[in-house]
Amino acid sequence: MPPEGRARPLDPQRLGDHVDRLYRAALALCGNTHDAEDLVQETYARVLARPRFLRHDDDLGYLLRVLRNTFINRLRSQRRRPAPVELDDERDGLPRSTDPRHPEAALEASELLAEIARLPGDQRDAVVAVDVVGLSYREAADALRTKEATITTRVHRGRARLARALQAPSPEAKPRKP
Amino acid sequence: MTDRPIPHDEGPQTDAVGLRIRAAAQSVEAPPRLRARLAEQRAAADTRRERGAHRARRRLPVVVAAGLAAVAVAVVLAVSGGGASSPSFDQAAQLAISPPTSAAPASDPNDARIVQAAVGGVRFPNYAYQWPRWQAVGTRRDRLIGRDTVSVTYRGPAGDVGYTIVDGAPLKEPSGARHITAGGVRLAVVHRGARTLVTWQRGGHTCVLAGRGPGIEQQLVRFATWA
Repeated sequence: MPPEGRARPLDPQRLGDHVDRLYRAALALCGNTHDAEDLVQETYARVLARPRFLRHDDDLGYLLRVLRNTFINRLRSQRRRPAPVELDDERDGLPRSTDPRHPEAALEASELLAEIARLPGDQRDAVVAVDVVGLSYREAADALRTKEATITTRVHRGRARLARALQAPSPEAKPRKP
Repeated sequence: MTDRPIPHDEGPQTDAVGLRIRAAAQSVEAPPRLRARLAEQRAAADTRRERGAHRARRRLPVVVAAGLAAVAVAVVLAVSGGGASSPSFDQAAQLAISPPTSAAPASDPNDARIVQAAVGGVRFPNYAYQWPRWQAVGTRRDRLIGRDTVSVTYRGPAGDVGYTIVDGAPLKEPSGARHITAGGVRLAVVHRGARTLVTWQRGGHTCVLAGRGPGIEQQLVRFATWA
């Protein structure tokens, strides 16, 4: 039973509508496809474990918050465990050719999402919510439990940092010191 | 940490980055294998909901049956354990195959790999973390010759699996058990009728996993050695 009159149940049948956007968010958090898929799957397992009632959130904002919390829990768990040996080449990077019709777009997405994964946590979360998932600043503020002005600042700083990172020459292109 | 004001002259450049990210993100789609896995998860959740509704319709008979089962367990324990100073393995196993009497424990908010149930500092695992189709569905708490025990029932594709932890010193291993070592853990495997039971020690306490059906032993070993 909903805890309050205004609460509404999250419809499990509608969860499939958000898979693409959550997967993009997971890629921008994890930085590799293997972990991103696991993260989305674990997020859905959590949400489906029992009926959910939303009061203020829209579905996507709520799912993004669960995804982010799950990601943080996984990071904490991983810190307590020895680093796993990588057995799967797929873990090493993001997809480079998801759409064979537009390989340059896939490469662009790959580079951008990898850079977003390297941002400081607060800026990364804000950029993921606004630019990757497509929430409004207000929705992002609700999803991340912070103020709209704070989201605005973090998005701006995250984008500025990304702009600098994308303009910088790649490590391979830098001249080596003798 | 405070967020400093935004310099106005950086606006157009960062807006361009935002547009670039949005455009690039649109080219990324979830892979078909992930969609298939999520569809499986939703189907499993639907099945659980249907079972829940079915159980609700039959709530009264189930409550009566659970009460009778609890009485039966108490009688079995009283008869088989009367006068003993330490519980036997079979008594612990009886709890592992008994129906739960309270709600499923929630997953731990600080560590998704465990649920909020423990005995003597030994926590119960959240198997759904590793195997999403295996969900904790109920709990029971009993006293076994002066010792606290907690049992968690997990439900998955192979049916129900009961996991009991007995507080205090390790129990004597069952007679006729076959011993295996998996993942560095020494396990004793024994069969009681159609049931397969696996027992081992965690933190000096005895753990018992019980299930039934073909292939369940392999799953119980996976459960017992998952850390």
